[in-house]
Amino acid sequence: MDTFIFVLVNGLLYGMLLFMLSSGLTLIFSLMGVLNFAHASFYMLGAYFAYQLASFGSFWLGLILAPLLVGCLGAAIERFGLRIVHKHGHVAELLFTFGLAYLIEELVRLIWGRQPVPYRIPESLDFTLFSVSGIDYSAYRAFMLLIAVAMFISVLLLLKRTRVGLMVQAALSHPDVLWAMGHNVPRLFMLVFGGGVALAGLAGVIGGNYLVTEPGMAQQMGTILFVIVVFGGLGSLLGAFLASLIIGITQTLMVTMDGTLTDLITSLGGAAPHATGMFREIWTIAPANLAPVFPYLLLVILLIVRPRGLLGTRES
Amino acid sequence: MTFKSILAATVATGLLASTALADTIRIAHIDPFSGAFSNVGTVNGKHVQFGADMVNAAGGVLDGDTLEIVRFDNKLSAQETVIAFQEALDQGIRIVTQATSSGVALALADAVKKYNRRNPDDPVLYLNYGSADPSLTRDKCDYFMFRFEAHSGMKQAAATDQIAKDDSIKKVYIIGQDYGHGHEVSRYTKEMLAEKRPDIEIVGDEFHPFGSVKDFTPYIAKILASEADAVVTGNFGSDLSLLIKAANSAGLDAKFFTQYSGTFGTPTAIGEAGEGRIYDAAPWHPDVPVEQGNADAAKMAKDFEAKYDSDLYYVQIVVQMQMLGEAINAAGSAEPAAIAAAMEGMSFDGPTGAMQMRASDHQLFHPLFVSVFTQDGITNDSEDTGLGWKTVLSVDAEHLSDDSTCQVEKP
Repeated sequence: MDTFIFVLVNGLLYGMLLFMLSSGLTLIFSLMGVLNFAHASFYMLGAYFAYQLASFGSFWLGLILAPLLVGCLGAAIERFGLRIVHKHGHVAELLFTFGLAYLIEELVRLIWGRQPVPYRIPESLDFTLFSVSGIDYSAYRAFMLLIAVAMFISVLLLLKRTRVGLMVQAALSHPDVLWAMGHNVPRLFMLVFGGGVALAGLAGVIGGNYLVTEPGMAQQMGTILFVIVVFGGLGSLLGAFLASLIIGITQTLMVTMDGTLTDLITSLGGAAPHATGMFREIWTIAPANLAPVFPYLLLVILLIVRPRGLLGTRES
Repeated sequence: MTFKSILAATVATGLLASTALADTIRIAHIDPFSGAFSNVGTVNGKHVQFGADMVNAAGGVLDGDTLEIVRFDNKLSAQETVIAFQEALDQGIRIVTQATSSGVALALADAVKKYNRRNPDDPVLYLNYGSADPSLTRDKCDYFMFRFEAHSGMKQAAATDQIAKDDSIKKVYIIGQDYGHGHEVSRYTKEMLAEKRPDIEIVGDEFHPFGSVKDFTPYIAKILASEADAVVTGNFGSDLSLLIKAANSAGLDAKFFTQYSGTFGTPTAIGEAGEGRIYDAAPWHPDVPVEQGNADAAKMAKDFEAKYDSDLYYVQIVVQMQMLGEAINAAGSAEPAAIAAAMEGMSFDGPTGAMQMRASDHQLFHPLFVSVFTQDGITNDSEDTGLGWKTVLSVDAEHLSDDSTCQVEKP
């Protein structure tokens, strides 16, 4: 039972990290209609900026400045790049972000090299918070969880309680009406893009030292984010939140599950199936090895059953 | 390449052309030089070039001929490798070197074998500087292929020797990537421990998805629950870094026995948290020349660092290039058939000790070092981490064990 709780907390943490990345993506996607292929690259930039700032000053400097820097960079890219491409339609925008992802990755290699950089957990947070049946839970993990929850609440408040938030919500469902009412929609786009990638940057700041800060980190995170966004429903922050948690927790749980189909059948009193022929893998594969595919299975099923996603409001 | 070095290279080629006496012997280096694994190709490329430069600086081969490396990008794909091989052939190159990814190595070995069968008068020489897969010199050994680094089974033999020596180890947990190499390491570990220390209990034998696990904590929870004293893994790259990081953060204080902790940012990623607990079985670590009191090897490592601003690590690649140079000189010819004949059974006085190319399967036997990641008593640190590797067990070439019965067929 103790292990179960531990795994649950870990799944929650992984889910929250995924959410920090996907929340910005889902907002950008729904508002601008652009699947931002470079989103995970901003996550990577956040980690590298934080590493650089940590080597100049302290981790805390990076925690505050790195997301801001990433946000400003994102806003500039929207203003001077994406906005121009926008005139040529969604395909052009998609290709633009696609190219951007490669550019950022190569740029990171040029500046910081091809090997991982020593971006480490700050010493003030590098201690064991509590132990559950012999497994330590580090303070940094709790800190990550705290940051993620704080981010979730502030973004939710921003969207539901402020004027800008109202405009974003309006733009989600009726961008043309908002435009017709004389609001500066392009500026809103810039803000959302900058803000969205800043959230990814923040995820990079706290995820980069928890995982490994290397040029391949964006590519590794990339595809799962799109799954979460579609799974949760376009533009739905709460949907992205639920999808992140579901995927984070199930993936972590599957890893801990032991046993194969053969074990199941024999424990029910049946004879062990002959593990030969075309489908022999099925009988012996462990749930842990299916964990990486599981989100995609969920995605495919959900798209058939409920194309708009968990909490999505629009069909397309 | 900077403008200066391009200029220097141009001038140098100009000079060579003007003397017009010396020839160049071209070697195709096929590796991923772009894409996600370009870091691997780049590091290997430095070592290959460094080895060739050493041979050239020492007077070259034959009558002042020089070795020239021609790079081919394979993006770590088997198909691209075969295309690159064809391209190298079209350019008249008859010596190829490659090793990154055993799958790619097997594809190239196959392509070389086919080509040599069809062109017995114009064969190609394949120098493998260190694929992990044992089968290359076992069931797939070939007269025109030579491997210059111990395969995973030989490394695991050294690692299990160290485990057998350590009385504090009673329970071992094996975890690896779910593909060929991970399974091989697991199989060898179980077989060897059963023989060397039958009292050791294997409390776990687990395979995780390759390269897609972000949080290893659930696996660490299982290892903790098993009360293992030691963890054996064939993991490399971020799969290894993340595994050890997760172990540190969850408070697992078991010893780790690995094969790839010494390079590619793993020391950087582990840092001080891995002090005294990570063991690595490899043909080299930065303190080997210090421990052996070998000034030449120390100078070689220093030269490498001065030239490329990174640690010398794949010493077997450098050995390969030197042995190629010696074999060409011994044969008095740069023809692949003559080189292969000279290289078979060749002895070499390497930077870490005596080495021998086994004639039967063309596997090089060289010293292996099992070392521990530590701060104490080290001279050269690893990747500027302040920590380095200290040898706890050194196995010389004669004592390496490999029970391959493969016998190459002379054409």
